[in-house]
Amino acid sequence: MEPIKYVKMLDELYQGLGFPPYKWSVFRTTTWTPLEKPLEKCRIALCCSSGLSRKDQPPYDPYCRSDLSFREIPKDTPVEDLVINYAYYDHSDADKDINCVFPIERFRELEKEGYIGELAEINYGLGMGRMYKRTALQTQLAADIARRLKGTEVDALFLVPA
Amino acid sequence: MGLLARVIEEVGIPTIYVGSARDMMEQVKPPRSVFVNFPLGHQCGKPFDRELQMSIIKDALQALSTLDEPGTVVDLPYEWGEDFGFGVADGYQLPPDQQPPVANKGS
Repeated sequence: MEPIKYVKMLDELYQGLGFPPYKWSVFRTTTWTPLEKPLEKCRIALCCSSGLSRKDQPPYDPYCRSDLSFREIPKDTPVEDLVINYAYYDHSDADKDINCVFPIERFRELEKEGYIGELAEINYGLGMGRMYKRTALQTQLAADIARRLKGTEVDALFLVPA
Repeated sequence: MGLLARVIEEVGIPTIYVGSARDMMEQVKPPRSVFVNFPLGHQCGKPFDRELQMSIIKDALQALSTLDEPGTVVDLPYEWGEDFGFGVADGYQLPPDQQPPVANKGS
């Protein structure tokens, strides 16, 4: 089937609820850093923005807006200790198997089979929700995560947006 | 998340973005992305289908290691098997404390 037109549908949904038009970020160009190592030598971190946290951490507000906090998810976290709090899409399948959006078990297997060098010690759950603080998202949250990734010599980041 | 990918990449860490909203990906242009035409919440596959999940993830990792043109969106060939919708429940309502700020003021 044709890809769903989410931008149009979200515009209609929220403008129908009385919000002013959302200012989408639209770019002609992007940024770039080449991957310098083969996958089997790379330390890769996971990052998922579906209101993902560990059960012993503060949960996300499922209706969060502009939430710039993150939750550290250590690589050995059992999947039953993870939880999604998010109202913006149907995550009932991911509730049963978190790997649908945060494939931590698959990455542990990829490390074991030598397909990647290793899964990073610390991975990231984000909340975000509807985002009205795009400057702070870039200068605070993204910059903070970038520093942490560099500080732990992570070679690449695997992102699953919500 | 596309904005976050752009910043992370800008400071020197390659990223791969696994998305299911192709129109949003075209707009925000993450540095490298793969498109999986599945309902939101299944970007890395169906629940308990280890083989499918592994296949999507490996395709994404191959894109990470081989793409050389900034902003490329790779369409992965997976099919969900039936038509699907937006992923937000019908009759979606915001909670009382999240109503639009001064909705329609001046209009």
